[in-house]
Amino acid sequence: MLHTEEIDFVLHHVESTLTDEEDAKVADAMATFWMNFLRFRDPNGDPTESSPSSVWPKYTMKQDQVLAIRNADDLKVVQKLKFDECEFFMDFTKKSLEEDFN
Amino acid sequence: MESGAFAPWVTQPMGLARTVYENAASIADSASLSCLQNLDTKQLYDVAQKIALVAPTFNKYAPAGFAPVADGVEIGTHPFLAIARNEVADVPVISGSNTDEGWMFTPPDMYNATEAQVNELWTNGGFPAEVLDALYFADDIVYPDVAGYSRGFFGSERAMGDYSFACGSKYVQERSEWRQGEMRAARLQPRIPRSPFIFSKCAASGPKCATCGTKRSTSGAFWQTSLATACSGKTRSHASLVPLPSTLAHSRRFARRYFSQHFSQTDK
Repeated sequence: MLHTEEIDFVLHHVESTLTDEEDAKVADAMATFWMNFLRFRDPNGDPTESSPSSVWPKYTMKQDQVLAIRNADDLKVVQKLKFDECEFFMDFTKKSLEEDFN
Repeated sequence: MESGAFAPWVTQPMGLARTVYENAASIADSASLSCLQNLDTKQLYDVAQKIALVAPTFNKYAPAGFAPVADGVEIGTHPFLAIARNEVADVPVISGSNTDEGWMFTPPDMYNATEAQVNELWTNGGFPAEVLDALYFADDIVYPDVAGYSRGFFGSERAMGDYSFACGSKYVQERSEWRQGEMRAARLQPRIPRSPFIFSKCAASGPKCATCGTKRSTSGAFWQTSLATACSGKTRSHASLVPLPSTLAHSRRFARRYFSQHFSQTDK
């Protein structure tokens, strides 16, 4: 999944770019998440419903949960994704920016 | 929020911007600001292309020559530092990244790079080789098996993606705990062979676009070269680079359908 490729999924370009059936299903799921977010401030949908969806949990630092979207039927909440890599790069970036901007 | 909104190059410090200006004036043979302001688009574009090759203007803040400047008026500081100081709007956000963000920024001569070559390259860029080696080339790390691409390439591509995109997103996600606005984090990772850019779009015969490379300045050249090589010389059709009116119309139709389904029931 390359840089910028999420755009076609979020904007639901199933009639042009995403002609593959599986891709179209991912686009359905993603566009719906984003539209729900616009409307309810929650990608899962209406949080006031009697049994609201909880597919995509809120991010907390302790849980460090990310929704990994691989297929429309493979939406998985994963923990500590890129934890070690980002400990290193966030620290590297912060130090070098502080040096140059302050 | 994706696409390196907190990567180094989204804002440059004022001191560097002055150097960029001086280089631009020198390259354009312009003695004054008003002279620079009178250049037409083509001339400015040529200046930007040349600036990207002149040290120190080619660096992490301005890989394409020009970049927004922290001038203390429109932009206070670098967005990454603004987040660090909690000087950001308190609103809900979706933030995320894709698996292979670094691919198109990794030039074709790296496709078969060895791990040793990659470690050397990153060390020259100021990153400690032993850290990169441990993070990206440990024995238990599995990379996709794609013909024509080495393990070294994938390690470098992932490191580039993390440095430029994924870890900026993660930083925003972590800092969101300071605020009331909720954060949702996403990772988009369909299998690589499904990638519409490289594997299906390139195979299809589309109209060749000779101007794609000029659309995106320096990184655009990289982008086009990488894709062209990956597609065995076939240039990707322009249709997948820029949303055409038909795809925008479709997005609007999807939005209308969404709202008619959801709003007709509860929001009269």
